[in-house]
Amino acid sequence: MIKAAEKVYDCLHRERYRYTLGSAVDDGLFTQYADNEAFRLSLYDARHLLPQARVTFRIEPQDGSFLINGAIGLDYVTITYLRDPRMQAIRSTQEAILARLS
Amino acid sequence: MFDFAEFDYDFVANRLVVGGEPMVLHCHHYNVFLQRSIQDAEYIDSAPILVGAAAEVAFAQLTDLLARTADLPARKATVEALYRACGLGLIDLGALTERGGDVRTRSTHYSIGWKEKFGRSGTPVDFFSTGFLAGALAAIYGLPLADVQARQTACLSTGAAEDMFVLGRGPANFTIFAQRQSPVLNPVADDAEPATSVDRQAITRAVAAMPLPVNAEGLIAIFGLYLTRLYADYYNRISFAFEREMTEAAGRQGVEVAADLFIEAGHICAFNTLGGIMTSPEWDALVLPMLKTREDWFHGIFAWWNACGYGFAKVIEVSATGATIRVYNDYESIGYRRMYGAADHGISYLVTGGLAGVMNLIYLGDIHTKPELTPEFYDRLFKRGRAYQARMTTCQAMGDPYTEIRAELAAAAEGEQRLEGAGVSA
Repeated sequence: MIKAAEKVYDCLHRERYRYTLGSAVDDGLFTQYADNEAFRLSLYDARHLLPQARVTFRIEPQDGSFLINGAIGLDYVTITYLRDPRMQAIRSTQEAILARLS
Repeated sequence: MFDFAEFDYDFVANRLVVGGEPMVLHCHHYNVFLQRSIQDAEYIDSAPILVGAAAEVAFAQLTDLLARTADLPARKATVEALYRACGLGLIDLGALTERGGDVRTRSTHYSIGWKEKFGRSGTPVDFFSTGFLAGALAAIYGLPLADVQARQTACLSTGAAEDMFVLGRGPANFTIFAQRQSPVLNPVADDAEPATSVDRQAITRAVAAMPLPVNAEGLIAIFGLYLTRLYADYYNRISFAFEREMTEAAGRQGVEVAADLFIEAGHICAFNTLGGIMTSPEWDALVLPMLKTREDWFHGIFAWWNACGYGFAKVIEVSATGATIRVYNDYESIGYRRMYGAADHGISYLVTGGLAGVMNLIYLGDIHTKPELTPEFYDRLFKRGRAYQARMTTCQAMGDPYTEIRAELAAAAEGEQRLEGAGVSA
């Protein structure tokens, strides 16, 4: 569930939103982007050095049309959209996915 | 594939050396601002300096990296992959021969970054890639650097559909600099730092190991900007060669003008790169759990700074009143001494501007509230009224054991500019 969607200034002339979610991000988000041929998921886990740290992730489609940034356990993600004719549709799709998260 | 992770980060000096060249992280804001500052001095012929500086470091590094690769396509592939891994964009060297050739690309950091920051340019701006390609041509074919030429004939920043670089043979059409001396590093002392719950060493290690994602355009889009991992001695050469030209043209005043520009570039770096980091999910995930006070934020961001290849920064003192940091082996000092010997004035401009910038962000800009890092916010924070000013109190390039910077809160008098960066002088 999306509690708030805040447009964030982006100096690269893309559109960036910070979505505050109804609950902390968990692995459930990744299942929405599990198609390895369509999406690239990158994780970084530094908990062996920083025990309190969270695992960060980036999800990007092969065409680079958007980028999801976040960390497991945080209550928000940022999504940056490339400005192109498909942007509104792509944004709606991602927001629908976030809205479905419990 | 070229992967910086295959090269060990030196946590004793906080440097990353690849093929003999120290590499540092900087964003497109800093890169194009620094270049533009140098270009704006129209009475100095800066293009040969900008191209020659890139050619110098690329040639040196690639000569080292390609030493054990005889196969020509493999040598070209290594250069292409390095360029991409640096976040510089995409290049295809397939058509290059020993005599030169054309290189066309639809993605370069400098051309795209310039257009993003300043809008459309009237002339080509990618001097870095021009020099990089000159150095690459010489290194790939084992030619003297002084025997290659390079120029950019089309640029995305002007509205062209692509960048085009023309490489050829003949007397170099850029500056060939005198050979650098071997770097001399100073030992890092066991200075007392204020107590904090922030695990500075762990942050530095975690960030140094964090992969920097390169996108399909060969750019590193992270922290809301385009990041690069470039050559410390590129920045050093263009800065100090420019400063020396300014000194020839205007004497001591030339140094002061150059210092103001380079410290402003440090502000730009702090505001955009460090500000972008401190408002990122990566920061919230890795560092935020340890932060309780603004002083903790200061410790956290300088621990992160220590993973950027800039040298070893130690926090000596920090409060709302001011801060002192001590940097061992700051890359500007190391580079200056390699190029020109001992300095007669302080030259650690990046960390001077960087410290003031960090203090402004933390104590005046409330960076913990995640403000939007807009140009208007920058102007409000750095150009008007009260702000932190930093000055060098020692500089390793002058023979001191470390570079020390002090920042204090000050106000500009009506109609005056804040003076900054002065301090250590001959």
